[in-house]
Amino acid sequence: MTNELLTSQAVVRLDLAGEELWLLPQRCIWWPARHTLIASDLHLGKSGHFRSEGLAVPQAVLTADLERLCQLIAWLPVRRLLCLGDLFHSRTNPEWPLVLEYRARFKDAEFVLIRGNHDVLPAHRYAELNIAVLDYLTEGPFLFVHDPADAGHGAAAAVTMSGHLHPGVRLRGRGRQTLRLPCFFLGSKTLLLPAFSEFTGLALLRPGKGDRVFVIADGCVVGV
Amino acid sequence: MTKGRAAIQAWFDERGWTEFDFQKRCWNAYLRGEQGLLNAPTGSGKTYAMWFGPVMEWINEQKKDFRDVKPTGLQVLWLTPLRALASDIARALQDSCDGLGLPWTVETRTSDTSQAVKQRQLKRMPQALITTPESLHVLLSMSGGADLFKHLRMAVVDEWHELLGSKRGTQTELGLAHLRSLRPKLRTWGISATIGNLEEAKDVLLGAAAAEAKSKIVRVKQKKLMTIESVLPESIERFPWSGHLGAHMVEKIIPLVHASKTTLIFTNVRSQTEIWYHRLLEAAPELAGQMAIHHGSLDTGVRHWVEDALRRERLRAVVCTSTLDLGVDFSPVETVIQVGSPKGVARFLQRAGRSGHSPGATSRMYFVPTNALELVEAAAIQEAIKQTDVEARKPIINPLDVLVQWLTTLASGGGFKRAEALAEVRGTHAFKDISDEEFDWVLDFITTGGRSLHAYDEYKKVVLNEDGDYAIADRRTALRHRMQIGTITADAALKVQFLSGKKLGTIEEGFISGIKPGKSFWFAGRNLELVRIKEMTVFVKKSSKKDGRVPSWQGGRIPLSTEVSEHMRMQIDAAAQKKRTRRIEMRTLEPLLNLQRAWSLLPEADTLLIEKTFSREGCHVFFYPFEGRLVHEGMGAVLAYRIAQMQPISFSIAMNDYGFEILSEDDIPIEEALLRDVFSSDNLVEDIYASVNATEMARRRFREIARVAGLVFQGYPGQKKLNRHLQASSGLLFDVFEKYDGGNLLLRQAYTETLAFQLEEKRLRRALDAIRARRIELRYPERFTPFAFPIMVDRLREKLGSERVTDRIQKMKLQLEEAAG
Repeated sequence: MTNELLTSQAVVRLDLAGEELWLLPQRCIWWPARHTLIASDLHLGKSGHFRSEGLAVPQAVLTADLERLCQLIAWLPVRRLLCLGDLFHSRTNPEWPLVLEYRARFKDAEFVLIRGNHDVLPAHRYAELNIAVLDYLTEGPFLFVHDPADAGHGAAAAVTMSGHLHPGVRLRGRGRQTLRLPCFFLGSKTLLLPAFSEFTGLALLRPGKGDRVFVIADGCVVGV
Repeated sequence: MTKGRAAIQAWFDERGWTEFDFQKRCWNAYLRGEQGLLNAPTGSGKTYAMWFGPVMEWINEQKKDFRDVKPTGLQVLWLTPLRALASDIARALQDSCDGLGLPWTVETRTSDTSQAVKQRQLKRMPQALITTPESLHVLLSMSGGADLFKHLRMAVVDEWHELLGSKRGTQTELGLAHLRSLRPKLRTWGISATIGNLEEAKDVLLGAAAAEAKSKIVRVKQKKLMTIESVLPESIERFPWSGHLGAHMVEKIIPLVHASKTTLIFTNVRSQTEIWYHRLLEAAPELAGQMAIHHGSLDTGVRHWVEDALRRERLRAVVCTSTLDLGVDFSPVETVIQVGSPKGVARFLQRAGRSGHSPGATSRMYFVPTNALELVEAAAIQEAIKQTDVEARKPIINPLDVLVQWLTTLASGGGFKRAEALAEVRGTHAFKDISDEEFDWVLDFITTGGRSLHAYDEYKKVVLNEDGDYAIADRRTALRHRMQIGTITADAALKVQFLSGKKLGTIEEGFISGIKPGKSFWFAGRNLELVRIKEMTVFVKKSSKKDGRVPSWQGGRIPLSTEVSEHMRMQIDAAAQKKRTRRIEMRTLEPLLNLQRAWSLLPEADTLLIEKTFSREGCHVFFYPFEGRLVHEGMGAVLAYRIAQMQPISFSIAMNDYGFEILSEDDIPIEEALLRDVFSSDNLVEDIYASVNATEMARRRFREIARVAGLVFQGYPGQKKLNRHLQASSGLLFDVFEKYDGGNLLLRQAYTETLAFQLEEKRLRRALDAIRARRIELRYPERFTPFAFPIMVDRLREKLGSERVTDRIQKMKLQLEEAAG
């Protein structure tokens, strides 16, 4: 399973500011040199929040997101999980105990959260999960923030990595074919991560000259 | 003569009116306790035919002088599909009460009614309430709602043909079934224009109650006087073979407009109204200020203004779409002009009936073809009218999304028990065959939100109490449900408004995202400059520029109806046999038909013509079943798929209402395919799924289903910002269900609806079977024939392929554009 899902065809290896990064079809990034898995916009508890309001979203979507995360942590030598914001969907999270259960499965890994606009839980909740919460982080050539608009925190950084937008692109083919797909969006000094959660919409972006786009489809990351 | 009868007759006499025979038949049938359907055109006196039945009955029941009796409770419930109609009807009914000295009050209750009036009605109901199916459901969702109906004697459903065949029709059926269980003696009557299945329309309206009491259809015998005339081009040689602009016909329309007090100009799609309005103004600037535009994307305020101005005879012409098909009594309208084929007989009749809108007056209708073959459609429609071949409106069966909504409504309104609700629901035509499993799935869906996978679930909507009552979880949920009642769904659209705040209407995101600030576009008949887009609003100002794009709205292209296609085949058959015709349209078209005959063949009715032609693009094969665009789309895809099974080949497919084309770079082995029975209807559904992108179609269908079933939350009215934490698009939900809850019956419904409505599977099957009974004529014309050309240039092209998504991506071009700003 491991080998099949992380084949070289499925993954795009990128050299960015002298660092090797793997863009994974699981909607996140592996930074091998630092043993760090970078994911953004997990929106945990979103399905539960919908359901508690009488909107019958299949709850399997939450467990699927968490399962995917745990599998990656099992396959890769992850020492640190870095979340670029919007870890939890909202203040009320009926599925909190479930999240605790999953956290216990990778309790040895360090867990860092860059605070996003959705991250409004009281501090003791993060402590309970053993999560360090930061506003931003500079490390190596990178600045990590939630909202790409906050890139000012580290003018010195070569590349700013962020989430927040849930980037996607629309591809057009002949015969009126179109596809909307989530993507990694690489600008000259920015790298936008797709939302990790499958239960999130897309903000369609239009690449300009020099932008590179890597879409996720059929379990593969593909540069277009 | 009874007291009631005498009072009504005196009232008619006072006005110098005579009672029509059909009105008396309706009153008598009602008084005998019968139910049924009145088949009457608008402007025939149908309202009084319904109204005075219960009025007479009530008067007869009174022991003293009815003028002095204090009436109690709601007696008559009047459902109308359009809330714009409600106040007109209420006014007419209240006037009759006042004239009779009948101490009844008549009121409306729609989304336009103020909260204060609504509150008062809950405490004290009027004797007659004019409302919409949605507003009835809202009433039933209130606790104590049932008490409001305990005196009800009659329910009238106006313009039933408009509701039938839609989910609003199902909603009406459910509401009526519930009222019947509250009031077993309730008599239901519907009013319908002429449609092909009046008997069925009556049975659907009455549901299981049809079997219990006598029911009948009352037909109005008086024929509506109507003149229909096609506006013919100067010369058919110079008339385009295809396209739908028909701009050169503008000059022909202007004299018609000038000759009438008021003219309605109908087009088929919203963008066409904008184009024609613009063209007419250019050609006849004197009409400025006397001409208006009316379509579904305009702001209600703008539309109300136009409707009001029409009634007050302030307008010479209105360019409009189906939004003015029914409803409001526009007596001043003298002439109706239909631009382009209306594609259906019923629609044509309905529109023609918008002129001469009073008993005995003549309807005047002009048909303006926009390309040559539409002349055949004009002839076909007139022939169909002559033979009263009008389309049927097929009722919807088993729409579970509507049931999810309905059971939540019942739960909000005081709760329900399973057995009673099931019996009631099975009393409707729509759900008469619903299985226990399906019903229980819906119950489970609203109480547990589908399968619960872990212990931390807090799904909350409907709860099952210990005594077996299903009730709404809490007041907030009930309130939210009430906000969402309704099945009419609008696409996600952006508001268009002036910087000053005046609202103009809505526009689709796809169009406006292609326009940059400072550029102009046509909307609501004005040339507007885009200033900025903020949140969900497009801010504009007046533009002085001459150019500007015209927005397109999705949907709206109506396929040719079975009735019209049948008559088209007959018209062409007559021409093929060189029969003399009195239809001026066919005579005008003769040179073109002769060309078709000379280059290929004019097919007789028992013949399917296929043409194979080569060009620089490759090999084209054209088929002409004349079955409408949707059937051709499915048939083209299935045929191409079956040919591709014989040998590896890839196609693109194009279609219009007359036929379809498959195109390939390689020689298409159609000769061999015909020997192999490619028109078989065996394995049809499997081949459809294999050949068309059914998932994408179902995803689009799911948008409506998700809203009806309350899976998407659209926010409270007046709330500026949506509750972002509860926002998810129906497309996202579809994907999530598809992946994690494949057995979800609402998801399955999206696929069933796709087959039934998007691909018209039944009609496709019938068409395929019909083709197998026909003679097939394969011709090899040297150039594109008059039949082929319009298909060729129509941009509706679909590509057939079964490649993997990733392969498709490699072939697709990413839209590379300068980043905005």
